[in-house]
Amino acid sequence: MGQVPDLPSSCIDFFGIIEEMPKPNYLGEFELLVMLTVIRLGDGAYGVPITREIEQRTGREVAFGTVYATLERLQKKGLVRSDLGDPTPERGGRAKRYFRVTSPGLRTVRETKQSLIGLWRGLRQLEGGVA
Amino acid sequence: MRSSHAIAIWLFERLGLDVALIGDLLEECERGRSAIWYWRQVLIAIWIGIWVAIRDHKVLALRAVATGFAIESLFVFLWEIWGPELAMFSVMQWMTQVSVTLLTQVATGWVVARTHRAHQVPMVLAFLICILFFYGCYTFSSARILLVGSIHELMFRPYLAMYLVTIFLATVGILLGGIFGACPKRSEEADPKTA
Repeated sequence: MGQVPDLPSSCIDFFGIIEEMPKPNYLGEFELLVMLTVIRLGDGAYGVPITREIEQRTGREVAFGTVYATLERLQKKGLVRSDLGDPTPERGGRAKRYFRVTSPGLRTVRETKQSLIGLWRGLRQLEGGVA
Repeated sequence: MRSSHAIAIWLFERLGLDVALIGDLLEECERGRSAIWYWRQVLIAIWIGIWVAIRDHKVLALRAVATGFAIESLFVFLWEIWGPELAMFSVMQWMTQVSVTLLTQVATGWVVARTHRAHQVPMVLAFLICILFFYGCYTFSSARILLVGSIHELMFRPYLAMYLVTIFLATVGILLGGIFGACPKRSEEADPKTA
């Protein structure tokens, strides 16, 4: 099949600029959960343990697709990076993708923690442990 | 499980999703998870992948919809010039229309996929959703008459069937064209040199 030419480069540049406009690096609830889990697991952080850890800690069922979509988003933001391990037979010859938190990722988690602590402080309704 | 695993990989490669996820799912299956659980996870991953691609590339999706509608308009224009002049309804006319519809929709899906290489299948789906919505609105009154009429009158039923078959074939055509046009996106796992 022959190749169909794309739009002219000026159009692509225009669309590219709009798509790549910088977005703020704040963490959503699930992003924070994933970041903390990746930090906790250290060198062994890949899809299966990350998903299991989140399920065990939060008590809710988590889809692998959700975890991967979140990790991909965090990777695009430069907060995590990934490397492929060796393929294994029990995985159908597929390699594990290991994730690690980057320095900007750690900084963002710290900033999110500070923001949450700041919001938490002084809320009398949440003190004492009884609703 | 192996054949379904190959289908899942085929789908993931066309959607540009990470095939390492399939490895994770197989690892879980080795620990006793069922095939239903596996396919549920695959479908969730595909759904999220398509949704995220459209949400994160709204401008590209808009471009895909505009491209698709432009091609559709061109086909309608050509049909009006060269299409057969058939005043009376006949099965032959309907068969011709259905064949042309199928072919033009395959072509439209193929072009939309080929001109949006970054996210081919999600962009074809974005166009498909929009054109089905447009067609639904455009033919709403006649579809309503056919639906209501076919409850009481038998003579309406073949017309309703033809209407539904046309929509079904148009949908299948766009999807087929999109899948034919979509090049599999090899991840770095499949081709380490490109990493």
